Amino acid sequence: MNKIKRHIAVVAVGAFFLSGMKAESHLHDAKEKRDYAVEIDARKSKPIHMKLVALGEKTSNYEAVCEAFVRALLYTDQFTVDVEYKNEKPKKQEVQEYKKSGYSWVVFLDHNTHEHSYEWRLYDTAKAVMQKGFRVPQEGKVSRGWGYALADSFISATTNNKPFACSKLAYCETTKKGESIVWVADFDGSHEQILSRSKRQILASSWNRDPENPLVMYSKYTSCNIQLISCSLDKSEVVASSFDGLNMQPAFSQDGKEVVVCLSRDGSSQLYHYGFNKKLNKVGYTRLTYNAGNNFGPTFLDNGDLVFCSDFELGKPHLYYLDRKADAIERLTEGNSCTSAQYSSLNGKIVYSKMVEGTMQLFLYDLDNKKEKQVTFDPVHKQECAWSACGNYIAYVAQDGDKTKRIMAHSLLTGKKKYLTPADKVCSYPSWSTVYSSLPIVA
Amino acid sequence: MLLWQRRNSDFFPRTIFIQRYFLGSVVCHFIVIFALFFLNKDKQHDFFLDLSKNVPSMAQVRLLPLSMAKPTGSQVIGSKKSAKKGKLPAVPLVKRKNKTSVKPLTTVMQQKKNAPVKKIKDAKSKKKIVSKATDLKKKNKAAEIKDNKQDQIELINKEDKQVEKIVEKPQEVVEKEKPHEIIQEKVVIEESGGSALSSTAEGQEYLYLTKHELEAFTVGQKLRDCLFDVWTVPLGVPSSAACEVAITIGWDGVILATDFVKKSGILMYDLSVQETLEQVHFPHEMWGKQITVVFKP
Repeated sequence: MNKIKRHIAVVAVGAFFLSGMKAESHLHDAKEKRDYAVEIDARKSKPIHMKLVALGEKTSNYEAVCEAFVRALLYTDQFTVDVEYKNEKPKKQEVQEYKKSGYSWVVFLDHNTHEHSYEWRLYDTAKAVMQKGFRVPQEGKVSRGWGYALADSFISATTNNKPFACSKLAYCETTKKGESIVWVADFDGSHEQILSRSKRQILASSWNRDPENPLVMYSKYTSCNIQLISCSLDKSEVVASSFDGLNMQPAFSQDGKEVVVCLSRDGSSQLYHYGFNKKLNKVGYTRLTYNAGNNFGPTFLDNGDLVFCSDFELGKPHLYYLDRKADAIERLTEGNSCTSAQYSSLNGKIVYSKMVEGTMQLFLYDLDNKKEKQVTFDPVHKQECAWSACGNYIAYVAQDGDKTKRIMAHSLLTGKKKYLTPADKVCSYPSWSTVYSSLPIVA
Repeated sequence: MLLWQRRNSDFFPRTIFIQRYFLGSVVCHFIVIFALFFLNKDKQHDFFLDLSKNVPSMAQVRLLPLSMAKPTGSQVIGSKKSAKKGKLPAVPLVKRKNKTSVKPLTTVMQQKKNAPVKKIKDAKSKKKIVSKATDLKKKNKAAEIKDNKQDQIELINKEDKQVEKIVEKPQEVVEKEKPHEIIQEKVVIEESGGSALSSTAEGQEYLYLTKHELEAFTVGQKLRDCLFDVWTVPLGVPSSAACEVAITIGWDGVILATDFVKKSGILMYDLSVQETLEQVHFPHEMWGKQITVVFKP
């Protein structure tokens, strides 16, 4: 019996030991099942290929809406769109079949005639599940404006970018005969219309910031001075400023209530603020700069301060920051000449042109970091730059040689450039307006 | 013997055999397990993995388990010794001369002392040669000035001719320029070159990882490769966007569940990640595991 007990004891100890070993191995296996955390950086990018299915009867208005919607999406270079017209909404299986054709998304566009609105619904082709939808009321009389509004809502919902399609582009053209024309076009330069025409030279066109009352401001040469003209879209012109010398380049504050103008009534071009003067207790012009140089191209910042170009210090134009409360001026840029500054409140940056190796290039200045960054590098002169309504595009005049002057748009999202004006026109002073609820057109 | 006095083994010889067999097997198992877990624990393994994608300097990295000692010069890839063994070609290192050709500073001073200025050494003849010493000093100074001028002229001419060679062979050019100062610079160069060789070879970096970290690293690399093939980012997405997804993979490689831990807030970006996860085929090492993947544009 003692021997048996010994055997049993040895077996028990061995079994206990083995079970302990197995438990440890189980623990080891369990550790191997722990989570792995991995970070992945993208190697390649491409636009999203999507299908636009327009439901309902194919009318001319409906076609114009679809065409405008597609054009606005294609302008961003973030989407490639194919349009299809159908009477009935396809089923889930049909939606999933689009995936085999290479479509990542399907967007259904529907016209609600009762509520005078258009609706879009986004479905992914993998699971045919609705991801997002939006209803846009029909505002205004222009059908392509409804398409732009649809595109703005779609872009905002899918990319988190601000809308831009319902804005207008204004620019000046000098014809071969010496005539000056002010054009107003859609955001991409299409559907251009003549706003003003004169045998006297017109320059420096710009928009005001009032979304309810759009106005185009420009300077026109006269026999004795350069007047500042304000023109509404029904082509009615009003002289906004007519001092001696030049009256140019009005800059509007973010709320649209303050205006700063360049006037050379006292000799060189100085900045004047038009508004209520607390000291004098009346509305009028208040001089902001007092120097012997030329001060031009003002732009308002969010806090009410100004950034402008001046050559009073170095003899060549540079950007300066005017602190209106402290009444102090600080130079922002160094090196070569810098002109055409414009601030965007959406991204907090100033775009301007700077001479680099004999070519004017576009730069971005970050007020927070106080650093500048070159945006363009091609051997074409770029000047008179302007921000888009969404803050992702920069319009500028591309001058290659003495004769060709075309307006181009540079995308900060994709780095691509597009022409906004035809090749046979000599254009300058582009200006993008704010986004309107209903697309305005020239009467 | 009475019946109750007999042992079980008399009645059941088979049970004895089975018991002894079982005990013997237990003992053998015990020995094997002991050998596996204790004797073989610190066995060294050598792993090579190309981490050039993840190392900022793009240098080839050698992974060493923690228990392994620092490698010698012959084991270092890129050194001349390993190149002789038929491994990767040797990285061109800073050339250095043999130590026997080194002339330390003291020799410079000695050379200066050995210069032919006899009158300074002979103290006894100072009085006699005082009158002539000044003349000799002047002559020696003039000779030194001439020598320096000649050297400078030679140096200028040689600098113009040998501009390219200076880049490749700095030591030789330095020698010709200033003979006395050159030796000092030689010493400096050799010291820096010697220290570089002894610490790390040029273009080589070392990463010490544990076994678990190495496994996780290799698995992560395979996961990245399979996702890179499928994932394409939409254009125009800001660089700050990031999407974190927790993926549960079944034992057959099929995705059982995907949870968006943190979305980027950009619908097109999140949908592109979702589309990627539906198309991706995970490697075998990932089956039956939970993964957290952070997608960055």
